[in-house]
Amino acid sequence: MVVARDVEHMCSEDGQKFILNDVAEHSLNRVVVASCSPLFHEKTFMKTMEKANLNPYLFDMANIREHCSWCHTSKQQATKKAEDLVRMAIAKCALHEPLQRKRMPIGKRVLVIGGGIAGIQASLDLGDSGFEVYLVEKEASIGGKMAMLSKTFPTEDCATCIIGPKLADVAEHPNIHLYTYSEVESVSGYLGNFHVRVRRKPRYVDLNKCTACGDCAKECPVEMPNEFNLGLSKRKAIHIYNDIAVPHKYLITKIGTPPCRASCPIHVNVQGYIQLIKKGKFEEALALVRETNPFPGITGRICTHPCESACTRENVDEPLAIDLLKRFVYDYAEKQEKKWELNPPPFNGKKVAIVGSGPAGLMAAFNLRMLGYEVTVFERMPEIGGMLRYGIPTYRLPREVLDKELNVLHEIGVQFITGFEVIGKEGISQLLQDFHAVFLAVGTWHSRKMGIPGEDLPGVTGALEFLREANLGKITQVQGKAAVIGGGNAAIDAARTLLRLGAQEVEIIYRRTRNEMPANPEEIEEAIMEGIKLRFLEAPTQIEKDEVGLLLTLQKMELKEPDSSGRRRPVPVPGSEVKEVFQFVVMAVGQELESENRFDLKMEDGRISADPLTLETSMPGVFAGGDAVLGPATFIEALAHGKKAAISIDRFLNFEDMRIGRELEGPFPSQVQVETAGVEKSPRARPKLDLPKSLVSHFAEVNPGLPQEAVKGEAERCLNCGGCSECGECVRACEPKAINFGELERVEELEADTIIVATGFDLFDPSLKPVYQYGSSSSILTALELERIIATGSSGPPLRAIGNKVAFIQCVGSRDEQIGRENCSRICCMYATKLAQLLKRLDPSREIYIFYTDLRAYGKGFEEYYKRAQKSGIRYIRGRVAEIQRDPQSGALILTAEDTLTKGIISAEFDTVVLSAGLVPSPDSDKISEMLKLAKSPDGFLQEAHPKFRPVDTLVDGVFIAGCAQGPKDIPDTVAQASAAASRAIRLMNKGYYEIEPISAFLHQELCDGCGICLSSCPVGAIVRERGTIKINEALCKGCGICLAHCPKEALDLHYYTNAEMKAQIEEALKGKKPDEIRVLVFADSICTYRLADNLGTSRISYPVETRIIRVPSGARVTPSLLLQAFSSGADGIFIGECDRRASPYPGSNQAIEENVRIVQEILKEEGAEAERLKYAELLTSLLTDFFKNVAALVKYVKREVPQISPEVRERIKERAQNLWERVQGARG
Amino acid sequence: MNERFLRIKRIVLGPRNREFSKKVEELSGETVNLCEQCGTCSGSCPMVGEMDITPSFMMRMVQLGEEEVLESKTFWICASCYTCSVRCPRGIDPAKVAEALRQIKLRAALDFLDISKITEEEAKTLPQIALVAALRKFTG
Repeated sequence: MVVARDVEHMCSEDGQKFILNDVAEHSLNRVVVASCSPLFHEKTFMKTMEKANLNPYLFDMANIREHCSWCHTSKQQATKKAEDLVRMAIAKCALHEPLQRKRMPIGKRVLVIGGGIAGIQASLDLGDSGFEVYLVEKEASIGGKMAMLSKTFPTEDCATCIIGPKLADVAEHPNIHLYTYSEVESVSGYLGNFHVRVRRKPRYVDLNKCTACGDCAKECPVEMPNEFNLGLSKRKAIHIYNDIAVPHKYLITKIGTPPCRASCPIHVNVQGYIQLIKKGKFEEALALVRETNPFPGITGRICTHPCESACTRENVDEPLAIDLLKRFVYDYAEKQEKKWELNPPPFNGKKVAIVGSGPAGLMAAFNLRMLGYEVTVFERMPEIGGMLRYGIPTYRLPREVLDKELNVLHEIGVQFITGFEVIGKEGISQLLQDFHAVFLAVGTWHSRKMGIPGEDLPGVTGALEFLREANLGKITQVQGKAAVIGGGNAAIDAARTLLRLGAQEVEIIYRRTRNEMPANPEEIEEAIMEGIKLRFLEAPTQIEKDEVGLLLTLQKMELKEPDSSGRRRPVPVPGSEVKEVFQFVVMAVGQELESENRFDLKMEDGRISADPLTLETSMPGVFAGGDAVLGPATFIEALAHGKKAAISIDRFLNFEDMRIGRELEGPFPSQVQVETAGVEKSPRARPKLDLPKSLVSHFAEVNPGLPQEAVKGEAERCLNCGGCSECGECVRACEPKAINFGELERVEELEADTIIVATGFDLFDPSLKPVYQYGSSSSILTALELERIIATGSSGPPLRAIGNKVAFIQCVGSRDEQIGRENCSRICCMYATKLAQLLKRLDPSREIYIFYTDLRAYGKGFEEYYKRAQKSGIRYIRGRVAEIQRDPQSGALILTAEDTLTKGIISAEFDTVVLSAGLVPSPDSDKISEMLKLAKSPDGFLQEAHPKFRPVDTLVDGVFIAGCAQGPKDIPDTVAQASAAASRAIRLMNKGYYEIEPISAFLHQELCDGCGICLSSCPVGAIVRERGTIKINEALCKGCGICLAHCPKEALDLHYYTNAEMKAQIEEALKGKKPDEIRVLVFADSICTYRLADNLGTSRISYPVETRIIRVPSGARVTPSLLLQAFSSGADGIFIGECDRRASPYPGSNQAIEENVRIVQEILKEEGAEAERLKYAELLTSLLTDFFKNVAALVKYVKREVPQISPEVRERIKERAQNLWERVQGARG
Repeated sequence: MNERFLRIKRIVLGPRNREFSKKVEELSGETVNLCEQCGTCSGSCPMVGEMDITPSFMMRMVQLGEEEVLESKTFWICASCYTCSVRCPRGIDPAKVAEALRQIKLRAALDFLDISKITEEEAKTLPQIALVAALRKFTG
């Protein structure tokens, strides 16, 4: 070293002159500057070197500011450390060789995230400059918050008028590719090389075909809150975002499958047909039902309607009468004598046999025939219908309706063979010879027996047998008193049939209570209305013959804990028997499959075992469903099985997988949540039941259904939980046929060179400040709501009424520690002044008060605008409103505040209160910051790289921020930042390349023996063998240093961080250590850790002075050899910090470091030093404290928790460094 | 004459005033200088109607070091309900400052409080908060 000089402000022109002079005067060939962080001024000094005609890489810096004077408290110790740092730099620099910079190509593609005014301005600047822009906006139109404003301060320009032309420019710009209704899913990579995945949400409207004529919205029956008007008005499910939307196209909002449709086992589009009924489109409604359910007439009369149980309307008053509405449209069409026109496809040559013509079999038959199969249904009874005809009585399901519905099957060509029973294994084998597949839907026709004595006596029958005989016309009269044992639908059906056959008295005897009765509640009610007596907590124990009939012994029961069905178990009460005489007894205590193993198939609990997903049985080609598989179940579940079997058989016969994509068959829980508060109650429509009269007409239908006058009103009660109801009205109305319900979400991949984040802000939600009672009155508004009210004021009735006496409350959600928002939101004083003036102009008689804390009118023309407001009579009161009180009767709003300028207390009534809510970071900013690893300021907005000099840069190279994403600001400042960000991006991309440091790997050819072990070590494949020699491709090499640890001869080295330079630095770092001191070396990667250490210094956070930070490009450069050398030369602890792998430009570096650390930790342990002395962590630039915690913990550990490493151990470690290679090879396996 | 129109105050910003502010800050643990005079405390105070100066005025006088604030009845009317403290946007605790002023007043006169010596008349007219403040400091 020839010259040492102490200069203040080394980086200034003056300071640099010293370098130039000294180099010239003393013929220096190396320069070391001890001052601030190289990340700050390395470039400056390297330029100085060039001016002095020296290669810039013959230079180094000792960071004695951020890494020393700014972060240590003891002046003495810090000075000592500074000396070390200077010596380290000198020792390293002495070995530097001249190097040339590397150029990386960079293209002209920019990703702009956010389509508000910031994103728009940046995109236009970039597009005009010849760059490709991908503008991604999450809403259906660009424009952001500015498009929502009425007028802008201080000029009172109409916001939509001035932004309109910009929107049009974006739309037409050849270089701007607009991705609206899209969100950025993920970003990986780095400057010049960003890989972006964009999720495009489905609009269900083809942008190329839509002409925005609006015919669709006119027909749409579904109203939803208008988001652009902040919910103050309504729009249709199919809508255009606003009047100036770009792209000017419609879109449909689908929220999800509503609970009605989700709970329906066959997923009929319930919401859809109810909306059509609401519009009076009964034929279309029926057609919509028939898309899924070919038997609406039957369903509307007997279904157990799980849709009604799931209906959200129940949270308001009562569920919709969905079943009756469905029945209505069927009956209506029948009255009009409208026929269902079906076009069954020609036969495809494959044949399917179905055994059983109940609902499951009929549904399967219909679906399979409509898929082209030739279907034959075998039924053992004389007529088809199964339970529909031989179980359910005609007063519930008239035979005309049944026959009419089933006729459809005949019309489409389904074959029925009645009076034919398929028996046993042979029966099925026979079928499989003539048919390609078989579906068994035989039902459960055997009444279970109780097993009590006397059950076989004449006069005692099972419910199913009784109903079958009655429906066949074989029983026409019953006399006397009848008992029905049981509580299900079969029991009720039997009881009401007995009544109609002439029984004088009918009693239903059930062993539990009414709450546990499984029968339909409507059926139970009708039974009671017809005069049937219900007896609870009684069960028969035996039946005996008596002269006048049957003597039943009945025992009382009481309910204990629940059994396997979940219902409380009835337990007999001893000694409580009574005897009673009945003339007729029907046992309705359950149903089961007719005889065990009827077809020799695998059974489960007495039912045919079938795969719940596919309905396959134990025999290939044979499927089963309905009651035969489920046990006695419901009609709609049987239909669901019929549908499922048809899908399975179709796939089976086409050799397709039967299992994939079928999870949503059958009922599933709906994910949709609907707000029901504030919905006005209205009663459910009810049919007029006239029971005693209808009894007179015996088996005629009891329930007349809903009258036509009632159906529209009932349909209007629907809350449209699913958003768009898929009713199809828009499809029918759209001439260009632009609507496509089947559109799917898709992901597009983009490549970008730079990124601009312009994700804007959200308005503070005032419900977080309950003292202001936001939401409790329609007279308390946010400023943004008032913007919408004023903006829409000229085009129709006001969205809300604004009274005569108006108060503005400033600083709502800003400058408030109590809710954790300390920042001032900057624009509220001015926007309140503007809104006040607009209101005053609309009605000069208004009295307007603005309650402020400080009035911030800092910008151009702001003070003058404020003065104008005062001139117009708007009163400004300096006092922060403490609370709003609301008179519960009159609804009047009373504000209490101190007028701090006169120290008086104001308590005044207002008609309207406007909350000047502050600006908060949008949740999208949060999401994007995580994705891009951007730091956040304490107020939650995105952090700029330097608060003074780099206001639109971030610490991630190539990523810029603009607008309110960075912090609250008005439109001119936003536009300025947007143009600034664009210019910063252009600056990086304009030359077509950017330069990076020539920090790349190189080979000491004389040491290399060509073993080739290094070839596989490079994650980017930059090491190749050419004609026998190992070569490094500098274009690919990233300069991470991973390969260095893979060379047994230490022939691989890294420019500017050579092995010799590193060793010299390490030695120098440890030389000055006193015997009782400890030293912790920190190897900090340039991208992240070194920067974090700088930030700690800038923030003046103190950490232990025993640390010595050594800069490396990547932590992977720290080979096991260097680590062992460091420990043997006196290091007590070593920490390696590396960039988090998701943000790292060095693929594979993290794993490489982990491997190196593992190897050395084992050696340390073996030699008697603690493995914990060597630590490694992945860090993010946004997490300052992580670095600090790691380093402080390590220092504490080596200082206090373990004894010093003895010289013997250090000697052993040194020896291990010599034989390192075998160890390394062994560890790598 | 209207009570508002008394003499114009001459405010001195000298070392003695700063001493008083400091004393109150030490006793209360609050950095009174942070008060930005927004008036939230006054607007929230349920007892403000009975006071002679508003809570924010009390804070202002402490800020400017005006010892005359000790003559005010305001901090004796204070019910210590803490509404001001939970709403203060600067995170200051005016209730604690009021307590500090009470303590300063009490310490000037009282060495020890013997409850048995308080007459019924006194107990009726004493502000309740005075008893609380005195008991807090002087018993045990």
